[in-house]
Amino acid sequence: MIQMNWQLLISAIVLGLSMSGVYFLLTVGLSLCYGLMRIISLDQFFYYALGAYMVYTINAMTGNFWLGMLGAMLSVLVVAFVVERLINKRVYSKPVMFSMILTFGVNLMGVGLIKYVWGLTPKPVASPLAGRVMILGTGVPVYRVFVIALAVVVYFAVQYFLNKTILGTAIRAGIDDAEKVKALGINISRLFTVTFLLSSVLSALAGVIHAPFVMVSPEMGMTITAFAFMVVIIGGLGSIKGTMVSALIVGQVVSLGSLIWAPLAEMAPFLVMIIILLLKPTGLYGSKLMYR
Amino acid sequence: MKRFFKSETGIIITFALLYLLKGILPTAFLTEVVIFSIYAMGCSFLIGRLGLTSFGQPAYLAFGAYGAGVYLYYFGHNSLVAIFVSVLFSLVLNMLVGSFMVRLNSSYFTLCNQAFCVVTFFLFQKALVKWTFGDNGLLLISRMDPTPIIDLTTTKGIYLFAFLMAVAVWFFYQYLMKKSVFGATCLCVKDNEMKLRFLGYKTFNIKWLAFVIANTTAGLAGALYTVYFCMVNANIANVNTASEAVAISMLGGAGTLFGPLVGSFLFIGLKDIASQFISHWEVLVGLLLIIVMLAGEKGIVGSLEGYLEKLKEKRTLAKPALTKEGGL
Amino acid sequence: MGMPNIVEVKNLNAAYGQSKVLFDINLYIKPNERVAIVGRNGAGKTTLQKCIASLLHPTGGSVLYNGAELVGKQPYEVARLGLKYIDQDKHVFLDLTVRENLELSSYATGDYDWDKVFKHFPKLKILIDRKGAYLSGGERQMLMIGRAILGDPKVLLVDEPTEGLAPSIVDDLVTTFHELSKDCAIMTVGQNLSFVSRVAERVYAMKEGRLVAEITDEADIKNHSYCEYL
Ligand SMILES: Nc1ncnc2c1ncn2[C@@H]1O[C@H](COP(=O)(O)OP(=O)(O)OP(=O)(O)O)[C@@H](O)[C@H]1O
Ligand SMILES: [Mg+2]
Repeated sequence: MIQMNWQLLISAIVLGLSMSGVYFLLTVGLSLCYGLMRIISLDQFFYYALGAYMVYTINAMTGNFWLGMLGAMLSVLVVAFVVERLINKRVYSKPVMFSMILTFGVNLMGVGLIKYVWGLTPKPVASPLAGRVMILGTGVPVYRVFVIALAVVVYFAVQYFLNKTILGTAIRAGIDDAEKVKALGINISRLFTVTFLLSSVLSALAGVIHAPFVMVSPEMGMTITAFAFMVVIIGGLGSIKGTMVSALIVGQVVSLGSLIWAPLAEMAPFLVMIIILLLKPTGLYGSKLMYR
Repeated sequence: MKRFFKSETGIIITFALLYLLKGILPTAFLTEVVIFSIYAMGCSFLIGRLGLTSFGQPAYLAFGAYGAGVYLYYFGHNSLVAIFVSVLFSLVLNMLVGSFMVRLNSSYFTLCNQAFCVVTFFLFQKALVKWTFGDNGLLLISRMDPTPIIDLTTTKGIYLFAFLMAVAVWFFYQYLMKKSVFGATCLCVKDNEMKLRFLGYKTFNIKWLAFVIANTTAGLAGALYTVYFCMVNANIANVNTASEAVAISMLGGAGTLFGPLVGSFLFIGLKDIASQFISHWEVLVGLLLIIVMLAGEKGIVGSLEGYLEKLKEKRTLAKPALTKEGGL
Repeated sequence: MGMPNIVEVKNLNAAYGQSKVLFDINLYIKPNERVAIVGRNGAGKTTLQKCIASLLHPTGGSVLYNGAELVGKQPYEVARLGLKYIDQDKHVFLDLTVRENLELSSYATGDYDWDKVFKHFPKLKILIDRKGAYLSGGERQMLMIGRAILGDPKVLLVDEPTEGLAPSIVDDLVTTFHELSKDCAIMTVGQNLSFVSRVAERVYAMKEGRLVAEITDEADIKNHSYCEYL
């Protein structure tokens, strides 16, 4: 009996960690966009769903998940570029609310288009990595471990990009004060585009790796929205480290919570969020800057 | 002209005209427009007068809707009492929720409200399913007795009642926006909260009160919906509709008196017409949101007011020139 | 004085929303000249400099740089052409080290020759790995100017460089400005009259959005006679 519970716990923790991976990939873009452009980019959820659908389609056609992953990221790159140039860039200088409603509109349109193209029935995507590994005496699907590893790699890659490359330095400077970056002679609008595309591709990647966990459905972007919001709020908008930490928290709360009582999976992160906001109104790692 | 539309007579005449439109337009459409405009009023006030954008309005709508629904299903049979009870119910809930929400800065306020809306939806759909019957909802048709004076169980009755409520709400907000000190301090919060704090105002109280007022208005709309549809299910708190209230506020002109009405009329009208041609309403609503946001911040009524102001300016400027020419 | 003007501002008007701030400004800057703008708080000095640097869009008029129109250009294009603006609030990027601050400017201008920065401000070499947030006001000013002179600008617009600095640091700044002007023209905004009189060869007095006087006489500048216009 005790043995059984122990295994349940281990596998719940691993599941929670892989959920954290998905949340992190999805919210790091939200956080970056808010930090630099001061927008809340809800169309990230469309790119997330589109990524999942692309990997489904390519996987169904070629039987190769990894090719699907690549195709999904590339196609989202193109879509996001068009959206940013045509629509999003027009609200960068306006209050946050504008970007929220505007990108919500993009998201909604995206959902409609997905329904139009792929129909309403949810689609399954098979896990590309079958088999299990033993962790502390518990068999855990390899794919979950892969997702965790991928998220860790992306975290360090993003940190490297921001801290060690000149473009990342420019982005950090822009998060501090975009106006001054202009005065230095840097094309800030190009910087914005790069950041937006990076965010979108990461969101697409989140959709791709999440697809084998869930059924790919038109509403999947809407379903995950609340969790993504809780992650960015708990972590503090605009902070990568905060996003990572809070993705870890939310992942565990969701997965361990549902072990105790199923409805807790959706309520518990919200309670955690409220408690953290009462203690620290800008989230765990949100800076003073965010008081504005 | 402008003065007229801001006065009590303006409100009465506008609504009287709208009421008479039932000769031309379907009553169902008009009822929905009127209830929705009450719902949008609170949202518009929060955006336009306080600079707080709530992406979780369906939650507050649901408070009112379930307040009335639960009363009718479990306690009484009188719809008028149900509406009264549900307004009280959402008042109390909003006081609680508000004291948490208004502490947050504006970005977090927006996000937290949306998260709250999702949780509320979940509460009504799953967690409290024993009492709310989730997606099936509370069916109230057999539980509503005809009410005296205005019979809310008839389409005509609820239509008239919704109108009366709307006029009352408009009177209230007209006082709030144009005449009260409170309305002015709200604008100051939007403009520069810090400065107001240094002047010795407790901005928390102002925001809290505004939050409670605005979302209790949404609660009233929710109660009207329940009585109108004779049922309530979890879908009323669906977060997918969260942007509609905001979009309507922006379309009509946030913070203006008639913005919510104009916005609701156009938005619901367009949605109704277009859904006959396009099967996926999301594309349409999405497109509408994008257009509204890119068209500008003032909305229809806001732009109109600006235009009228310019006209007036021109007229006052033109006058001295005229007298000179006249040789006076 | 047959030298062509490097900057020429003609009938410049600017507004924030409905409120007009600048009215028909006309001025010029010659190459390697040190010009100062004086005026009370809110006279519009910052607004004027921002308009010249294209950080604000004027409502009318033109700004010529080497004969080419700047109005309508993006701020980064103007900076790359060699006209740099240094802000009033001494805001270096707080999260970035001195090195990263300089790297960013090098990246923008393609000029990686940091020796000229260290020649003027040897102290920056010692502080190279310190974050912007931990620099003193004087050090920040050094970094702002050092950052700006990468890319060999021909015009520097420096907004109130002396604000909040100790007198000895202001003295250093005077020397620096004299040295810098061997390579580029400098237009500074000053509240500190002794600083203005030691730095400027020519002074524009500004009042309520208008240029009210141009003082070219050295003696007039020395004894602050422009104060009567303010
Ligand atoms: N962002 C803004 N929005 C609206 N008005 C502004 C803005 N910035 C400045 N102003 C107004 O424009 C006028 C000129 O401001 P400006 O900053 O150019 O003055 P200044 O001469 O630089 O003053 P100071 O010496 O205090 O720096 C002032 O009346 C100011 O209130
Ligand atoms: Mg200034």
